[in-house]
Amino acid sequence: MAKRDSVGKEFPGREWYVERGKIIEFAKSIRDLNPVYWDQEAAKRRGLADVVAPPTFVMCSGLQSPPGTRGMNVVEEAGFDQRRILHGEQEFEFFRPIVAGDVLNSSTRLADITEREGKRGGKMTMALTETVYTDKEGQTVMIVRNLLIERGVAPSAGG
Amino acid sequence: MTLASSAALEFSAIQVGDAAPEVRFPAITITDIVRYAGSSGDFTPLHHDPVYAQKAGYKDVFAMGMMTAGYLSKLVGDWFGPENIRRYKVRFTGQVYPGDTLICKGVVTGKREADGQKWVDAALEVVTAEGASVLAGEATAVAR
Repeated sequence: MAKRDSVGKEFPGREWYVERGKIIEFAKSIRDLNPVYWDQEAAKRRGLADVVAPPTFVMCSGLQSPPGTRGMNVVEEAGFDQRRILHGEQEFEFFRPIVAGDVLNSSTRLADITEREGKRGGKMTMALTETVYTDKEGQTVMIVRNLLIERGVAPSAGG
Repeated sequence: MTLASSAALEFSAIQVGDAAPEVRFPAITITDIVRYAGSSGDFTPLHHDPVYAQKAGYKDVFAMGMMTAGYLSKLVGDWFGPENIRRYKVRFTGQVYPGDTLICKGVVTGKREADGQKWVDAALEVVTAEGASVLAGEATAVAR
């Protein structure tokens, strides 16, 4: 059962190092070979300090968690059943480009929990989280919103 | 070529209704999914363990939604310049299975001036070669 009383709870993040090699690896994994993702000179010709991170690059930030630690588990806090979770929506808002060399801090807030009847029957529960990323100067550089859905029933085969 | 102009998105050159050059990817393989699992750190077994996926009621492993969102971002980056993207939103509408061919599309839905800057809005979608919708999205870029 989702716990509505966890709405508003804040989860502090760790420092996230935006690394050039990781950007190149990530860009290849999304089949995007744009030189601004791997060629420093191409990035500099476009006025960037270093190679730029693809829009969804922050998805890999959890890999930097130190060994033996667990990432913050917002959905567990909200009482969601991991086996029934689907990713509903994801939104990235940028206030400037994120480039290799950035060191960002973050804080995640469980913004909302809502329920509605699913199309295939069963109650769907949705959790919206909002993570704000700030740079060393304290400026907000990115806000990420994530909507997770807990299905009420198992999907039909092929669904 | 001036250095600044290569990075800028020309507001005057963009019209509402303009379509992005379509981006089509070869059929998705389990290897593509595993590569994205490694690069993103998403090791949810639904995406790489067929037995686990079938027990959960799916016909096979399927790609992470964010992998499809990553593929779609190539269209937006090639169109507007990655450094000009100020908003990127995706909504997942269907599963992507190994063997699916993804076709990414975009169309300009708005041009506006606000907060002393020029903005271009676009609607995005990813469909399979069979025409099934798997992702709907939106992007906003800063222009000059």
